[in-house]
Amino acid sequence: MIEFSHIYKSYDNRYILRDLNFKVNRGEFIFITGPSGAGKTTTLKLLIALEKPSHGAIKFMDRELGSLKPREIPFLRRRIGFVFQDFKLLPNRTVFQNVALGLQVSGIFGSVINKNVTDILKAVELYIKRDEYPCNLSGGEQQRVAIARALVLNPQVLLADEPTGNLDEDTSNIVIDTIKNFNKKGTTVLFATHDRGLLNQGRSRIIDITKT
Amino acid sequence: MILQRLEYALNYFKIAFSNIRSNMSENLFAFSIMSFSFFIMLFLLLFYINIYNYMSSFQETSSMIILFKKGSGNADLINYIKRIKGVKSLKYYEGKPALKSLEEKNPAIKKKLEDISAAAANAGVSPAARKNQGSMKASSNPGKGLASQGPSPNEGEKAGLLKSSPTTEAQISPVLIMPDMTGTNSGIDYNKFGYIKINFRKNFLNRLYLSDTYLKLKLKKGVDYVYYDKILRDKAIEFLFFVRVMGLIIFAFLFLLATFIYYSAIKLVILKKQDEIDILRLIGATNGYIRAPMFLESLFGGVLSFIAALIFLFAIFNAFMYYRFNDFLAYFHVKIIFLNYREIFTVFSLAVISSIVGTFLSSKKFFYNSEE
Repeated sequence: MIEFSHIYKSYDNRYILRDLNFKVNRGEFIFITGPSGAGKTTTLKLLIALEKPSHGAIKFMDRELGSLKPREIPFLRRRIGFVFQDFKLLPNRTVFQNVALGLQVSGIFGSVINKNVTDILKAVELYIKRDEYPCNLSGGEQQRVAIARALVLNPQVLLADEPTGNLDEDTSNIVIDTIKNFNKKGTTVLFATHDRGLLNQGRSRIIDITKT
Repeated sequence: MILQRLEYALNYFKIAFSNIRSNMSENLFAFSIMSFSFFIMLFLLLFYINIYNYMSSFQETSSMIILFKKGSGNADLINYIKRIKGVKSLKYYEGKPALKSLEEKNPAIKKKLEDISAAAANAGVSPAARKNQGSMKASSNPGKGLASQGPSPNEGEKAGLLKSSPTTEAQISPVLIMPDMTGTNSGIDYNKFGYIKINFRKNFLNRLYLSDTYLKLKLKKGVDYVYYDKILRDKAIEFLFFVRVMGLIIFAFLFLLATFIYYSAIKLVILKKQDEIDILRLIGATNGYIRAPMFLESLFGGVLSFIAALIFLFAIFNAFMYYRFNDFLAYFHVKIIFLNYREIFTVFSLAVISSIVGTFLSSKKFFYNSEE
């Protein structure tokens, strides 16, 4: 489903990634780990074409990302959900509106939005807070809203970049459980973290990126 | 499908209005400057249209007036004039009706002619000298009476009161008082007063043709004066050209100013909403989805500021009319009109185009810099 072949990425002649190779199969839950600055976030950004590799090829669903035209990139991103460490919710929109945004940018409106957003908010147990603004939610709740927004379009892949980085242990577990639940339903998950404690949960594959 | 597209468009409007609300102070600032720009544009257009209309009417009524030499036969001259290409019609005025027709144009002319003649009689000068003396004094007002554009005494020659055979300074004078003086107080021999007024076809009204015809008539035997408002016309044409050029320069400047204002306003929106735009891009929003509300926002601002400028100009125009300045100007055969739909639409189009161009430039630069 996803294939990184001999990926190099450099900034100002300094290599962040050097000869990165891995494959991800459909439905897998993969941890990407490594020390800070090792290139975990860069790896995820390469996958949603937010960055371009200096060398090498990335394939997603048998399509090489380097061959994508700029206008095709938004459509790629609609197939890949992204969750950030700092949530990246719009502060002037309610929980419902934040989640609905994912559908709206894809041109989905009306009753479909109501149904899908309601379903996903129920799945992350935040339906009761649908009319709240992000500033009135806890960190864990905000992260679950972000997960809901990332998954409302039923993407094939969910990329989570240190989603528990700002959360306490109990809240982190809730967030991870939420993500795992979606993984069980078939969503492929790439979970970047530098928290070694999380890696022992379950029997997930681990891609360890060492600092070059 | 149509409903979905409508919802899509409605969503753009919602975002655009949300942007306007969240950038109220910047939008108000941009709105006021743009309104001022459009007001100046509309005012210039109004000014130009009225000047142009005035000049056009001036051209349409263009005519030459020929004064005869005393005792000359007029029939040959009339036949000659009739044969000139471009002459639409001519009218021959003689005796009292001739003076009356001039009086219609300038009611005070009879009194002035009488005053001049009386002054000449009291001075006891010879008929010929009295003729010349009176004529010189009369050169200003009769000029006014002839064509509604009045040269001052010293400007009589400049304004086109040109004599056909200028031998001495004293002979440069109108023969409106065509005098054999009778020695009475009235002093005017109405029966010997006469002139021909020629009207030209519209498509012949150009400088070259009129100058050529003027010279032909001036040299014709029996012609004493040819009144031709050439210099005034040339000045008017030059002025019109100046107004047009200046207007175009100011229009271009204001168009660029309005475009720059939109450019800055939208750039502010982009900078202010940078995070939001980044999030939208990450979740799969196309550039079109992000830019469409910006276009709507600037379009909305442009249309509103144009309407405000138009209303303001209309209010000023009506105030102008209310205080009867129009009557005052009508005295000088100047009729003030407001802009028609076509002219208003022209400035409206400029408002729309400047908003689109400004938004396009600012958002293009941004999206180019942050291109994937």
